Amino acid sequence: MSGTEKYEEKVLDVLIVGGGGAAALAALEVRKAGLSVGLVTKESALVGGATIMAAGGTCAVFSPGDTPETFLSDILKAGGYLNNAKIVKIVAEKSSQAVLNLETHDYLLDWKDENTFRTLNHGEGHAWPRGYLDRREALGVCHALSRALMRNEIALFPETIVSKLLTKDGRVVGAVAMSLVAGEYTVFKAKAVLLATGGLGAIYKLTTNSNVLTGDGFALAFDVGAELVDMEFVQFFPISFPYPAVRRGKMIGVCSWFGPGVKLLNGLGERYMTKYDPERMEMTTRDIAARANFIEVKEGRGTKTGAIMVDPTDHDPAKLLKFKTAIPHVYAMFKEVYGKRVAEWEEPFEAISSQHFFMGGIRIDEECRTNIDGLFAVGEVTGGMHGANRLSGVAFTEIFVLGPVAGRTVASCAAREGFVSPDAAQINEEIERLENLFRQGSGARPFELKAAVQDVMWEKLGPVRDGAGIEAAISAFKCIEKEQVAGMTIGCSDRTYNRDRMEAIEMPLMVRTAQLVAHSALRRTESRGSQYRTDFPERNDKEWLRNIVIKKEDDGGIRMTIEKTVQAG
Amino acid sequence: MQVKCDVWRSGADTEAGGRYDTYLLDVDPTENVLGILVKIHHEFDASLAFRFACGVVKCGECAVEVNGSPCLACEKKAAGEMKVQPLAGLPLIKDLVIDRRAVLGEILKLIPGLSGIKEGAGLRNLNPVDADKFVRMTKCFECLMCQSVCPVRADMPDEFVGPLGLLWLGQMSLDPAKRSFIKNEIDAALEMCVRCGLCSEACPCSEDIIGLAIDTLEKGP
Repeated sequence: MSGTEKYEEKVLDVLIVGGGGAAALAALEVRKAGLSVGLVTKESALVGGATIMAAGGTCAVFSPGDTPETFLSDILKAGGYLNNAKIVKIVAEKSSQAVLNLETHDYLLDWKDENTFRTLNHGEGHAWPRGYLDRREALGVCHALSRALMRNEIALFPETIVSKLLTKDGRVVGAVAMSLVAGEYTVFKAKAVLLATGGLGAIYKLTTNSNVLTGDGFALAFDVGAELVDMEFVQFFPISFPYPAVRRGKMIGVCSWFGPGVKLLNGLGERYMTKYDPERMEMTTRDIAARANFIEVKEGRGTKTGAIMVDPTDHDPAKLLKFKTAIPHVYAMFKEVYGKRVAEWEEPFEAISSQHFFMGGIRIDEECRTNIDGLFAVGEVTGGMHGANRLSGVAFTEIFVLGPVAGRTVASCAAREGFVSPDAAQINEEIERLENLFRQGSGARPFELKAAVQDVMWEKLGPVRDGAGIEAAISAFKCIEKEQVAGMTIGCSDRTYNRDRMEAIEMPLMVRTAQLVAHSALRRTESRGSQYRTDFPERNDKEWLRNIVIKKEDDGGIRMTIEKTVQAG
Repeated sequence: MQVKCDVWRSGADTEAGGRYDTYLLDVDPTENVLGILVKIHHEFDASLAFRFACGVVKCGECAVEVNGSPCLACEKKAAGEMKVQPLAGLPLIKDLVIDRRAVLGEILKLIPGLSGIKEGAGLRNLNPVDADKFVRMTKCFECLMCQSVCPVRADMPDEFVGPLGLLWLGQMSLDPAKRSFIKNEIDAALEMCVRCGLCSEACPCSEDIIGLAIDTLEKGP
C-alpha cells in the first residue's frame, strides 16, 4: 500500500470514544455547552458497554446519618488506601445529587414513594445502606441515555473502532477509526478527545464483561504518552456461569446473596473455605471467595467440568425471593441454565470465578484531565478512584458523577482551543499499518491470538499470581506481539462487516494492554486489595503504600515509577 | 449433539438475493444459537456476518430468526435442525446483520418532536401509578424483534412508527412536558396499529410492555 487508501474526514469540537454510560453522559454535557460532539462506539447499541451489563446497583449517600466522609472512608479502605482521594472526595460528595440528576435525562428512578427508593441495599463493605437498585437493572438508564443522545442529535458512529490517536507536537488532535459495517476509514479531527472505552474484561478467558471490552483505551492512551496507574489491580467475581459457551464467566452473584447457610464445595465434596477463611467461611469477601474457587479448580479439585459447587439448599426463603425479584434478569438466566430445582435452590449448582472489574487505568486528575494536552478520560478506563480494589456498587456512582464532569472539562478545553490539523503522514502511516494487518498472512486468525492472550491472562494474571508466572506471561505476550500479530490470517477479504478485520485491530491493542497489567503486577512485590501473590502473600505498607505509574519510553518500552498516593488535602 | 444449521447468506450486495449455507456441527447440548454462529465463524466460514455483544440477553444486538420465529441468538437453545435468518422485514447489511440505525432512523423521521423536545423534570412529579408504568415501559433494550414482526410496519415503514415507536410514544405521553408535542403522532400511530399482538408475542421482555404502552396511549392523560 502506498498510503493512497481513501478515508473520510470528520471535524468535531469533541470526539468521545466509548459506548457506555460515562461516554453518553459526557457527550450530553458537551452538547449542552453548544459544541459539536461525536461518539464512536464498537457496539451497535447506543448505550451498551459495561454499563448495560451491570446489575444496576448505585451506591450514594442516601441514608439519614450517612455522610460523604464515611462513604469516602469506606471507598479508601476497600481500595487499600491507594485511591486518589481527591477523585474519591468529589464522587462521595456529589454521589446522591448525581443519581438524582439522571432524571434530567428522562430517566425516572425506581421510587417507592416521593422520597424513598423501592430498594436501598446495604452492600458488602458499606457502613450504611447506600445501594440504589432498579427493577430494570441497568436497562432503564441505558434506554434513557440512548433516547437523550438521539434527542440531542449527537453524531453517532456505532460499530466503529478507533485504532490510533493522532498527535501533533505532543497534543492529541484526532483519531483514525474503521467502521465494521462499511469497512471504511474515518479520520476524526477534534479539539479534544475523551476516552471512555471502559475496562478490559475481554482480555481474560473468563469475564462477567461484554465481549467488546478488549482494553483498547489503555493501549491507545499509552501509545500517545499518557500515564497509567494501578494497572496491576483486577477484580474477580466468585460465582459465575460455567456454561454454555457464550455465558461462560458471566455473573451470577456473591455468596452473601444466598445467605449464611450457603456452602462452597469442591469436586471431592469438601467444604474448602475452612482453608481460606475459617472464621467467616463463605461469608468472606468476594475476592477471597473468587481466589479460593480459582485455586480449587487449578489444583485439580474441581468438578468434571472444571467448576466448583455452590450449595444454597440451606437458605432463608426471603433470600430466595429477593434473588428472584431484585435481579430478575440474572434469575431468568440462572433458571434457564440450571433448570427448575436449582432455580428454587433445592440442589447445588456448578459455578466458576471470573474477571469482573478493572481498577487501574489512565491517570486523571479530579476533572478528568490526563497528562497529555487534548486527551481526557473517564470511567473504568481510568485509574485512581478505586485504588487496589473497588467497593461494591460504586462503579455507577463513579460514572454518574464523573461522566458530566468530564463532559464539562472537555467542553471548556474545546471552547478555548483551535483546530490543529493532524499530519497527513501520520494518517497515511496508520492506514498503511491497518492495510498490512488485513493482508492475508499465514499465521493464526485474530480470534485464536485473542484466545491465547486470554488464556495467559487468566492463568498467570488471574486471582492468584507469582513472579515466575508473570514473567512467563510477559514473554508469551512479547512473542505474540513481535512474531504473531504481523502474520495474522484474516479469514476473508470482504470489507463489509468483516469481524476478522475488527478483531485484527483489537488484537495488538489487547496484547499491549495485557503487557501493561503484567509489568505492573510483577513490580508490586506484595499482596494488596485484588492482587494476591503467592511469593509475596503479605501486605507491605512500609514499602507499598504507593502507586505504580507507567508511561511509554521514547524507544517504545515501558517506564515505571513508584509514586506517593494523592491525598484528599 | 449433532446440529444441522442452515444460515442465510446474502453477501454485501443484499439486492442480489441470497442462499442458505448448510453447516453440520457437533456442539454441547447446553449451547445456544449464538455459540453456534461463533463456532461457524471460527471453524467453518470466516465470512459469516452476524452481530452480538453481551452474550447475556442484555444488549439486544444478536436478534435473528430461528425456524421462522424471532429470538435472541444468545438466549435460544440449539436444536437438531435450525434455519437461521436475519430479522424479517428490516433493511439488511449482510448475512444476518440488519441495519439497526436505519430502523431507528425511520421512527425518528415519524416522531420529529423527539429531537426538538427539551429534557426536563416532567417525570419527577408523576403519580405513583404512572411512574410505575414508566419504569416498566423503559425495560426495552431495542432488539427490534417487535418492529420485525409488525405487519403494518412491513407494508408502510414510512408511515407507521411500529411497535417500538408506540413504546417510545407511550413513555413520552406520560411526561406532561412532552405530551402536547406528540398528540398527532399518537393519534396516527393508534389509528394504524391493528392490535394483532404479534409484537408483544415477539418481545423478550418479561412483561407485555408494548401492550402497556398502547393501553396507556389509548386511555390518554
